[in-house]
Amino acid sequence: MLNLKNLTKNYDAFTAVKNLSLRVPAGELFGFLGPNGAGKTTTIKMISGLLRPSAGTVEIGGYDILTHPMEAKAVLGLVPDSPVLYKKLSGREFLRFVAELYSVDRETTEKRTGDLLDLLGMAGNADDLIETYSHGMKQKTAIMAALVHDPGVVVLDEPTVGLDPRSARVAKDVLRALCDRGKTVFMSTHILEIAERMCDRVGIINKGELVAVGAISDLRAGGEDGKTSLEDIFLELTGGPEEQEIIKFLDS
Amino acid sequence: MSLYRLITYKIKIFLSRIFRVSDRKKVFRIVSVAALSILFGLFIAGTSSFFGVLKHVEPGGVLLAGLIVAVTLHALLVLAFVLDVATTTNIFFLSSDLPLLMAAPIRTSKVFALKYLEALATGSLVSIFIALPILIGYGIAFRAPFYFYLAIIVLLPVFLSIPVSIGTIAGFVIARFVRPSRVKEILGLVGGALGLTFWIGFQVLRPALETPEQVQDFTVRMQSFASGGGGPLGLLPSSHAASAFLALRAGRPSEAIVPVLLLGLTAGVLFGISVLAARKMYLAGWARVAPGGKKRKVRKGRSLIDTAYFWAPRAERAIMSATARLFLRDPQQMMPVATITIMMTVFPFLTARRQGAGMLYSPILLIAIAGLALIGSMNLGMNGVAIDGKSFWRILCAPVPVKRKLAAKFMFPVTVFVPLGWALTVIFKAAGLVSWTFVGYAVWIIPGMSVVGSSLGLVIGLFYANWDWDIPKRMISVTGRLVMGGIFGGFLAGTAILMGVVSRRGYAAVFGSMMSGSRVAGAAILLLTALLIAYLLILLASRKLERMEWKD
Repeated sequence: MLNLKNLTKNYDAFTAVKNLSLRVPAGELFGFLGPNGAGKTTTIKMISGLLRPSAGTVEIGGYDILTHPMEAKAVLGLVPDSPVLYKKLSGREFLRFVAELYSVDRETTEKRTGDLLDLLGMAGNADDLIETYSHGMKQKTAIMAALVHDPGVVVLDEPTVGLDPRSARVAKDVLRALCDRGKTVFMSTHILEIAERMCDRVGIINKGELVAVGAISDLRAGGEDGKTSLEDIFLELTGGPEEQEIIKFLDS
Repeated sequence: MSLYRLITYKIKIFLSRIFRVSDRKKVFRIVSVAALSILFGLFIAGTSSFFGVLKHVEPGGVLLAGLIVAVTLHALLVLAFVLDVATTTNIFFLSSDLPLLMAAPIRTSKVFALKYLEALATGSLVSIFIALPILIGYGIAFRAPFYFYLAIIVLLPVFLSIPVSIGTIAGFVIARFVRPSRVKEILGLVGGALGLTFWIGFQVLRPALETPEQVQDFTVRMQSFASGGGGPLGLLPSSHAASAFLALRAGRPSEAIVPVLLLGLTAGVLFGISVLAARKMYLAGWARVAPGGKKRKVRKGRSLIDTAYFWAPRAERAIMSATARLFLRDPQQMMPVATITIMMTVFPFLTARRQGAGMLYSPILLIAIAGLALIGSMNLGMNGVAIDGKSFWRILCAPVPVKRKLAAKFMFPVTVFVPLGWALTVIFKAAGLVSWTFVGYAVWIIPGMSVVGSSLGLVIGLFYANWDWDIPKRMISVTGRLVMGGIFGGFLAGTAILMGVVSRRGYAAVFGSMMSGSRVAGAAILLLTALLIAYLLILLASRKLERMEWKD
């Protein structure tokens, strides 16, 4: 379970995230949407403890990330926005490293590492140095590293970027399976189609504020006539450019 | 786009990296620049006063001053070459803006020219900082005419463009066979090996300069060496540059014409060759601009590194073994460690050969070994934090208390340099170089120094890490490197002052009294002090880590 209460992040006079409150129960796949610079990555960094909130709290699995960081971090798996990994370690070594950081015993580590490598089609490259990996392979490694300690809450920042269609499908299936096993998945994405098809609920953030939250069907029901797709709802809520303006720009 | 516009953008980017920062950082950078300028001024004043004294030394003072200028230029040529091959490879093959520039409708020759100037500015910075004060100081001391200073401004870049051209050509040729990131590693190794060879060669060949006759003989031989002595050295660009500067200083510009022409011709020809080579290689796809290449497989099973840290708790073991792997798999990272290790090993044998088993030998040796353990641990401690780069977020996110994360990073250098220092002590004893008393002290002093060095490095690494580093020399910010240099200089100055005091008071008596006290108590106090310093520094580092925000 993930619980955000009045989460705020200020950088001097600029407010990146403002009074964000959200509860994602166990077994739910939550999609976190928003335009570039809306505050998605800042929120995820506050959830994972990489940034300190200026106000508000983050609870992961019932533990406050500020007051009980060890317990909260132990149940969290994070896939950051860019898969920055240790380029001089092999994929297998990196997964072992992460597992040891989370105090997973050796036997479980070897089993989970092997399973994840097979699942994401990385077994053949597991002993290559990460510096030789493509972007997609690095992204898969980051996803495996987030899952290697069997976390209760998985937070992913744009997890499908750089993945080929097959791997993207596998990743989506894995996330869905995690939810079915009672895990909480919080995922930011730009790809509205993924959010529409996969997520139980979505939240839309714009200029640091949560402007909408709910199941896709609820959001549709609340929209204006003709605003039937998530894309329409998203553009309406985040103030995207009107079609006429786009055509005018392309014609100019 | 014109070359002028490209250069303007580069300068803008450079300036904004320095000055478009928070106000606090801006003030700090301005103060740093001011401090560096003062240091630079002091360096010029120092060399000027040194040459001023030398001018009045008879016989041969003027000759010796010229010799120093010539040797400096020869040394710069070698130094610039070693630095520039690595720098040019980085700038020509691995710059982040290269794909953008190559994809844009800009002529290859312009891209090359831009990169060439970038390499000249970046690679020659160290050389300029060494050469300028020496040449200006030389000019001031000998009241050189104004055109001597103009010549410095014009000739120094021309002179330093030569190693850049050679480096560029060499880089392109090597990159034909090896992928660029590997070129840097290979050149790092070659550069380090060259440096060590020079150091060992200098130690072995250093002549005795104890009598006036020996000094005179040495001066004559060195003068012949510096001027080329009719041999191949005379053909080097540094010989032409030295001849030009010496003639201009003496107010004989006509004598400088031929060397200046030769220097210009060499620079021009090499630049031309490098332009042609670059165009050919870039366009024909000789150079593998894109990184990648042959895959490097590593052992599937657990290795010796994991076994070596069996004693540590799981998380600490993970951090230490990952850090060890990152160092071992990157030759550029290993160079400083290897250099210090070789110096620690070779130094006692060389000094023993030269000084015999004199009374001062043991204390000097002990200080040297302990000092190297300190510097080595500090270096490894500092880079051991920054080596994670942006991947450090992974350690930050781990459910491990901050102090334990830091303890692992702190212990890593200690686990390298303490066993190494102890092993060397045993070797020195077995070789009959040191006494049991030495061994007794070394057993305590080496861990003490290593512990202090590692914790100091940890603090510098955490406060001044450049998490976005692309090449190892940029792992720590300029300020961090200045702080590290200050500590290193402080250690040397402190040791020198201490040795001076000891020497003035009669070292035998002082060391005698030191050694006559309770060794156990002394060693215990030393180690406790070291541990206390380390504890306080780790506390400082943990406060920094607890407050650290990962904005990148």
